Amino acid sequence: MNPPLLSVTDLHFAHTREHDVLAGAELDLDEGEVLVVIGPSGCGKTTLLRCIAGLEKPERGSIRMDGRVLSDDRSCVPPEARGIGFVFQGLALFPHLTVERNVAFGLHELSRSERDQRVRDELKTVGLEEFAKRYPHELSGGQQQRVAIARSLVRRPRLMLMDEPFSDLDTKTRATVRTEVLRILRTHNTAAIIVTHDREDAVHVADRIAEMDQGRIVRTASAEVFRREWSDHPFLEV
Amino acid sequence: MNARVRLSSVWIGALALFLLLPIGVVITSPFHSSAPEWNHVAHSILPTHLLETIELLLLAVSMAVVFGVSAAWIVSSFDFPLRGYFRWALVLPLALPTYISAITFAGLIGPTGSISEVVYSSTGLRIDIMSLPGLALVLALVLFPYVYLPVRVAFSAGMSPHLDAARMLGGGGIRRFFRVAMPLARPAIAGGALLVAMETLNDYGAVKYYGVRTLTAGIFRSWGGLYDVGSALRLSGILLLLVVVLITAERSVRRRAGQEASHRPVVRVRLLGWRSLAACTGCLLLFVFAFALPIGSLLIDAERTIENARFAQFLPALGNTLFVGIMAATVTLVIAVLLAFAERRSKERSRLTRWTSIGYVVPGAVIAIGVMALAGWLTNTTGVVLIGTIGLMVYAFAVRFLALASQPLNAGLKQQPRAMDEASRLLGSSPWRTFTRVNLPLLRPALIAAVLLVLMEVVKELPLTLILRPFNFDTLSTKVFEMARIEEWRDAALPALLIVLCGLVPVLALDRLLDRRPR
Repeated sequence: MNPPLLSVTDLHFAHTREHDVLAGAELDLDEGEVLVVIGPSGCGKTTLLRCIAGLEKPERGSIRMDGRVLSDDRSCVPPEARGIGFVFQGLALFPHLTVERNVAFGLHELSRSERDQRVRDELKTVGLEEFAKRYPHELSGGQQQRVAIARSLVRRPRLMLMDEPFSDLDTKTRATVRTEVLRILRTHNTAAIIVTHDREDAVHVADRIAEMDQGRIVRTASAEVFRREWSDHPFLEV
Repeated sequence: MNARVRLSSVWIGALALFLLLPIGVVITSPFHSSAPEWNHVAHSILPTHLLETIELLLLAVSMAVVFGVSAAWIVSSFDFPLRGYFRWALVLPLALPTYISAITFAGLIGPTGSISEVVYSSTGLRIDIMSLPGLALVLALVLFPYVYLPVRVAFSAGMSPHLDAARMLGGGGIRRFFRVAMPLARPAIAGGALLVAMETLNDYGAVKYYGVRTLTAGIFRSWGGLYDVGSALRLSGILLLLVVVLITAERSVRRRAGQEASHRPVVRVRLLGWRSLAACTGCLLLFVFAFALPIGSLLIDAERTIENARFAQFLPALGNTLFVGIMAATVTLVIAVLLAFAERRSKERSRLTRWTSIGYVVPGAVIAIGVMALAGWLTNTTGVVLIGTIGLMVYAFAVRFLALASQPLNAGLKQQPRAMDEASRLLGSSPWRTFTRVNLPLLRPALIAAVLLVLMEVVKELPLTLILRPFNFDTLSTKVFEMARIEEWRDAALPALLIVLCGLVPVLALDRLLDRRPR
């Protein structure tokens, strides 16, 4: 069996001394796998993503990707050197840059021609090639979502982290974008951890679902197991 | 914290210390500089100058508070003809540097002023504004908008429920004003009064022209008359102490007041008949004396100057002013950007960087003397001569006006979500690239505001420029002041108008900015 792409061991994090946001969180993620993390507000889902991304430094525990230590008691690789993609809840598109320049932002080390080619290809994959010259505020919510995803994926990360990526979309767009995201992830065989509080989102995109509570992953199972459980007990609290 | 972050915080700390050095030199002066004339200064200059400073402060500040608060109350709680016009026009006097206004008034109601002559020939009465109370009145007329602006905001936005309650409880207009509005607006009044006091302490041109002996004038006398930088440093220290006392007093007033802001605008009462006429006349008189009269007089004099084609003699000064102004604005902006970057990166503002804003409340003469002493020490120890160079002037301007550049940058940065920086980092950008490619481009309006504010202040500035300018180097402000001193004031009217024009830009910007706040 192949070793996991990402493994998180005994992760601890606290904003204040009294309250642990993460209290020994652990998870493994395989190459190309989509893991959805669900749980009540304040259970540490977002903090877990931010620690994996390198935006927060955990107090204890380790994060490894591909056998390389990203963070442990002694070292912490800065976010720009981790090669991980992140889609923020508010998307955080750069308002002063056009769609194509947003997507090209992370490719500054490539030559111009190579960069342009990659941006064109990526915009085609997400179906936004005719919007290349537009600014983010000129796009619909769903289109902005796709720009944010393209901007991260164009760097070919092996792992994508997405924090409530569908929360700002209306019901109809949500279903389309969900399918689209999954298609794009599968096209590049990119593994992803998606944080959501929506069961429908979870069962539609996940290979596996991890339930989190009070800073810990309390249960992990296949999406199918959760789907069955939720259809039998529709009012069961997550 | 990794090594690179540590290194950059060391750099930023060093930069902040570099900016605080001149003030540090002033504070510690008794320990490191000799003052051969101190005995004389302490016994004959200090007591009179301290006393007259306090007298001038008390008079100018209280008159400015009376003008500012009553104008703000009338404009924000009543409706009368031309109210909308007075609302912003009463801010305009701020564009007049105190020395220009003071000299203009001296030309009108001084001992040989044109209005004084008319009054004398028709009534036989001699009027003369060139005294300490007269100067206080002139300063109050120029500076009252510092009180008017924040108090107007407080009256218009913060207290409608309280005023409504007072009205329901049967309070008449006067009672409402003294029992409810004034006490609630106390923090705003204190803030405005502090600014008036700071400007009064900073002024040199007006006090020199009117012969009022303030501490700033004393610093000039010790430095330029007695050639004793040590004594000038000690006087600067005492002036600084006065600034600290004033700031502490303002803080304590602010702390004692707790006011919940309401976003519902105050309903204005429509005035009719003689009341409406009185409100309108009051505002008009204030506007005429504070702005229209000095400006009108400048315009008349300027017209004569154009006829005589005397303006050419000011062209070198204009060139110098623009050169120094642009240099100072650029250097100050670069420093402000570096400090803003450090702050953005560290997520919290370090105490040291916060202290760098202090230059703005320190009188220009104090900074200039501190910088002078520092340069003197450098010459003594290394032989490098910086006194009388433009570089030294630019450094002093950066120390004095950094807050003007930092303030818009920090306010702009606060509006940018952190997620944007994080997105950029996750897309492989270093913190510096994130700052230059994401944060800075979005700050363009703030950057322009920062440059303009510093440039305009440098154009108006007098005391610091007078002390630190190179030999034979005139700026518009020093030239205007020198011309006034040798009684060729009328020829200086056109450049003086130019300075006023420069002053108008930040004043109008400030008025707009305050209007954008939630009402």
